[in-house]
Amino acid sequence: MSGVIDVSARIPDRLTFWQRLYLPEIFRGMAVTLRHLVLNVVNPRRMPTIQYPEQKRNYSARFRGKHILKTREDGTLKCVACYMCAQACPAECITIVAGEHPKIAYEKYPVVFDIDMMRCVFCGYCVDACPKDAIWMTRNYEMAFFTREEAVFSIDRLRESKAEIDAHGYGYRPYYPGDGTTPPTDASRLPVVAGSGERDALRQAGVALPNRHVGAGPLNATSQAAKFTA
Amino acid sequence: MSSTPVAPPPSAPPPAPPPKDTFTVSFDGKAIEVPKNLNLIDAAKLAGVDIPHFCYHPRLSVVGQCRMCLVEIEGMPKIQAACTVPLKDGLSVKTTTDKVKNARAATMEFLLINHPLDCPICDQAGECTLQDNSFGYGNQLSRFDEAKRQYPTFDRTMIGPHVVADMTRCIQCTRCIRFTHEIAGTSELTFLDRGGRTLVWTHEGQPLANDWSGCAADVCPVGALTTREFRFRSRVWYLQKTPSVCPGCNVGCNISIESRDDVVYRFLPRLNPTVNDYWLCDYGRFLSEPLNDRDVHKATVREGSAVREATVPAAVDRIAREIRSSLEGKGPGAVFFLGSAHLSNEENFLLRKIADHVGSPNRDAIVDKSRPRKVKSKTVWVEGDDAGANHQGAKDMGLSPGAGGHGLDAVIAGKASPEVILIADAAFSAIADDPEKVAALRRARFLAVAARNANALTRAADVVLPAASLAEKEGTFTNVQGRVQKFDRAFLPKPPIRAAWEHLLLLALALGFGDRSWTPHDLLRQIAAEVPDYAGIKEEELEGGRLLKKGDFAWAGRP
Repeated sequence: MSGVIDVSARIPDRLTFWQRLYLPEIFRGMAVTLRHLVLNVVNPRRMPTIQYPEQKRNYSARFRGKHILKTREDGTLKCVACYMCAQACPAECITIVAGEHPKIAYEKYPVVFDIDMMRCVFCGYCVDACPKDAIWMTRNYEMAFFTREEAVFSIDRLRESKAEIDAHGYGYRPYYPGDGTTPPTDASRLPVVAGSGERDALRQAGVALPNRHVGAGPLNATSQAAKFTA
Repeated sequence: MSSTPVAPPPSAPPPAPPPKDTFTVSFDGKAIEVPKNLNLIDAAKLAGVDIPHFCYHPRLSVVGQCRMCLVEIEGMPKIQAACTVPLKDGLSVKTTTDKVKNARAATMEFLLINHPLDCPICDQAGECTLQDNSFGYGNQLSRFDEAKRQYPTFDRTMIGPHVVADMTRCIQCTRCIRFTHEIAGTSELTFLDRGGRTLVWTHEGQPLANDWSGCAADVCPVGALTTREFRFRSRVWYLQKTPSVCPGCNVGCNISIESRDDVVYRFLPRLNPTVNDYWLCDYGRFLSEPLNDRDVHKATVREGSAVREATVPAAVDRIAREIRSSLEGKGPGAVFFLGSAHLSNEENFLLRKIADHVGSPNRDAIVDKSRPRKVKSKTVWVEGDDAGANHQGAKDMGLSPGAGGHGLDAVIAGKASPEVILIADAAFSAIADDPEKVAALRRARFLAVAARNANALTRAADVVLPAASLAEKEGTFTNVQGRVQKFDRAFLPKPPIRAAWEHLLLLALALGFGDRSWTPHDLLRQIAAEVPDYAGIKEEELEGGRLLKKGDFAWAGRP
């Protein structure tokens, strides 16, 4: 039976008179409280408490707080709605609806990107999973809300803002200045190399070629049922 | 008398063994008997050996275009493309040697040089052969660091009413070209340009607009051709696959309903060589979106001029009351039952049982004619022109006017005037949205329908029951070939919506027959016992002798 703790063995069958009285233990506890009170008054710097919210702690650069969606230089979200974060999320708190972006280099973008902060466990897996460096975390941990609906943060509250970063600073992210990690390549900034030769050159020279774009109107991901003709 | 053993004449040759119709071929030392007309890749699959490939497809001609299926064959000095090697007796194939592994890795490296690797935004990701083969047989790292080839003006373009082409992802396997040439017979697609600039496109200005254009996207092993309707709607690995039968027409193509969270996202063809093989027509394929439409969420009962909501049992009780009162007043001829080509055999059978129980000979099931539709099975074209999937089954179940009874035509023409009309599917025909004909039906004292979407008929009816869609129920359809095919339920309908057979079972119970525990399986057993043509039919045999497991069957992209 070695290694097994017999809990029942520790319970005395009967309390003694002094134990039943409780008073000696109460006075011992009060003595501890009083000792700390006196020491704190004499030396306030030894106190571990701070005056939140006036005072705040300085957290690690890898603190996992509220998420932000990073933006490109033109202000659009870097996110391409690939669902990798939603796939990696152990709390299943990310909801994405994808749409078609009019700019060819971007192609796909999130129409809806919701994070349910009440479900989120702040594990940072979404940051790790992102192939586009589009989701980071901040050191912002102040996300109090009064209703469940408010707990679902949509794109307008997740989009990176200078004010938020100035106030809280970046938290968990794929790379950190000075530790040898480098940002991933943003494919949308790579040069587009023309490879289709004569055909494209002819077009650029103004030669009238038959139109190859046979589809009507811009693409979108919403229901196409009405366009169907039996 | 001494018997001398009769020696065979020395010159006679031994009797020749009967000619075999199989070859003995060995894969990695494992010998297996395979039919003579098989392709080496399919033969390997029989032996449990996977030969990676892109361009080979069992129903398309062999071109040896992709060079992925390279294998070593005993007696041949160089590695061979497996898809182009004819089978012969005693062939010995090696697929695991270093030579083969290096060749596959080299092929993958070449293919990925110009592939954009935009898997995060590619709809094919998750069911992409390039992803799988790269993971299984390619190198982990790329040695290529120049700029990738791009096709400006040839990316993200609609090349037809349903297909979106993105040539940067294309690996030039020509499956789509061969599909349009050999199966569809329309030859819209072709190669443009030469060498490193080769691209697959339609002939100048012509759309990819045949009746099976979605199959071109199916056979595409990468994301170069995708369908507009499914574009960006869901990542494929979230989708639950449910074996089902296309509701579009009486060809009865086998499909897989792909759904998530009670929403149907798409149909894919499900392999059945005797009906639709690997293919599915665009009309049927894009019926997946209307499947999510619903106007009727609750049962409604009309009282005087007011329409109020009711529970389904209360609404069914009302129908039963009206049927009983008209039976007492005017006899069984005063009740009319209308089945539908959209209902399963089980539902039509139950409706007929109710008509039998009541004693009414007035029963019918009609179907609209649609544009002729066809799909290529392994051997022949299967053609159909019904607008519903199961008119044959409805007739087989006995939903045609009995002796002395009237059909729907007579009711609409005013030759018969039933007091109570029960229509088990409000979308049975275009008649249901024709105000004049609905007015003719409305002449009845009491009109009850089960419906998913509102139309003129549901607005006129006294009782409307909320009915489940194809994805929300199970049963069997009988197609134009007389083939009884089973479809499964993808997800449960939201209460109080119920399948038509549940409504009918409630009605049967209210009229005093049936068993509360009946399911479509029990009804199918009753059909097997009572309907002559369906004698002895067993559920287990409805899918070519075996039950398909959910999510485990072939489709055009994964032969």
